[in-house]
Amino acid sequence: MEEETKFKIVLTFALVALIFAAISIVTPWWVIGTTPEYELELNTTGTHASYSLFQQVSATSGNLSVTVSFTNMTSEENAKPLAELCSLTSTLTTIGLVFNVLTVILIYLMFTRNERMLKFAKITAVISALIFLAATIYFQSEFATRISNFDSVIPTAMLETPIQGSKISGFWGGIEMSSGLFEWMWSAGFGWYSAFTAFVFSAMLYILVNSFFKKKE
Amino acid sequence: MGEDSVVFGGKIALIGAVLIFINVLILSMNSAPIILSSYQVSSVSQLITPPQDAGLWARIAFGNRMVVNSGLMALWIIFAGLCLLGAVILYSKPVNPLYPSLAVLIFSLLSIFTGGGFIVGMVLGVLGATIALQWRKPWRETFFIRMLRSMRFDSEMFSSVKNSIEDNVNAAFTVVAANFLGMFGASLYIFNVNLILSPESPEDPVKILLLGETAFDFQTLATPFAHISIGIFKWLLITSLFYLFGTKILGRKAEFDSVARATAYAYSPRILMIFLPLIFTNQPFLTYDWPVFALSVTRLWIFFALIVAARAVFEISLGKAFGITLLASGIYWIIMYNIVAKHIEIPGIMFTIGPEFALLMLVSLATLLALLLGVFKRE
Repeated sequence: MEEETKFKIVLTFALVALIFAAISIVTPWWVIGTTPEYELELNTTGTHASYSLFQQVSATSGNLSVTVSFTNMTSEENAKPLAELCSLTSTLTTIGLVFNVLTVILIYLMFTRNERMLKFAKITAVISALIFLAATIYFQSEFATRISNFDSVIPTAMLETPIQGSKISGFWGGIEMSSGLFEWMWSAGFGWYSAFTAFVFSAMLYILVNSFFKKKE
Repeated sequence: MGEDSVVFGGKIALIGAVLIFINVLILSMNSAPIILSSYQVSSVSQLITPPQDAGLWARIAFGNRMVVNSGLMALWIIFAGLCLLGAVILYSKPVNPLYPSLAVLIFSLLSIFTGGGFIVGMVLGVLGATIALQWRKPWRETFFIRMLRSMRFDSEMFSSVKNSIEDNVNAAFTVVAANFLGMFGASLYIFNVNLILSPESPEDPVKILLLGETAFDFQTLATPFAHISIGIFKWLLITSLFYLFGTKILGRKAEFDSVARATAYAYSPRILMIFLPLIFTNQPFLTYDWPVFALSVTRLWIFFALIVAARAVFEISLGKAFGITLLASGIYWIIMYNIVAKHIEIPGIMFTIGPEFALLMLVSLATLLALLLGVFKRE
């Protein structure tokens, strides 16, 4: 394969990692909602809520839609642990994003000016991959503990019977109905998956640079 | 030549891997499988309770709910990434394409749990990886491409396998793959239809039709496994009949293994039945008629492929090839379904022509037609 094509492939991977890193900051990291089977049984559109790193919860139920901060859902003291988790994760992803930008710049410079910056591009790619991996694992492992103090994980304006934070047993899970099907289900949001994808692409970028440009080093 | 196969396979695998990745990302964005249906329904009774007021309804689902709603989804993102990485490395013409090809093949197959890149991605991934795995051959002569060419009635392909002695294994593998995968599709479809029409729990029809699940039982593997031996027997039977009519009656020169290789590839359309459980519709299609219809279509397809195979192997006119195929198929039908099937219980779906008198009439008609087409005129 021609050198130019290799550079283009590597640059594409770096750009894709960058795009997902940016998406991860602005999209929700955790979502909870009624399941399709529950909505079918009650013939409703259901209720859904999503948690973002900006310490906000957006919820929809039918035509109703609200966005509230954590402190509007529980006391400031109870909201603090989750707010800190979001804040730290947000910082980590922003740092990861900066390293992604650096990787793209280094690869572009390597491509246009023929400078030997491979080593630095590899280092920045690995650092960004590790940061995104750390951010996702940290958020996933800490989330359930830190939301357990919430009086309701769905804004109270949306639900008559609140779902207490203590019912959230893990990052992924659900509340079963008597029939065995699920009533509520929660899982990682697209932001979390985007950060994880940014990790995967940064790691792949490192492997590709290693495999494509071995001789240059 | 070898490099061409790797690059061509790499290109196809790359398109497949990208589709697989997009499919996985959409699943993670939705936190649910992708279900496309012709129109929205709120309950299963709207679909399967007679009298049927609703129009034709169909759904296609990508992704398994249990995989999507769990931490396993992260693992599937890694798998999709590894598939993409393997495809990119393949595309870059590596010195040894074995490991990237195997990676693409394995991760493409595993992607079925996350929708298989809208199925197209998985098919392209498997196709590209298998082409690259046979990097010593020109890509047109690789296993799945030959199967595709036989489905397109490519007489050049049948001529090339006639003289390719080393292809006996591939020919046998074609018969095995076509019978196993085709019958697996039919068995899985029938298993799910049984659960919809006679559910073990009230949630079964909801899960399959409205929530996009595909129920699986290890029993559904037993039937296609049994069809491997049946498939080999059928292949040897039809090959024997073709060989008999082509060489002993018509007087053309051909080795038995040449005829066997060509007839094996003619079985390729059967593999398409693997896609049967992909789409579920409401009545009247929610019956066993649908797999039987698919079986009939593939049978007819195989019949036309056999004509092209006979023409290429015996180097005869299209009319004579049609006559030989007609006659061999008629006798094959009598032996297989009126003699063998009465002594061995063949599992899964099959169709028979009855009463026997009608079948004999049809075979007689085929014999007369073959006679008129010059099958018994020795050259």
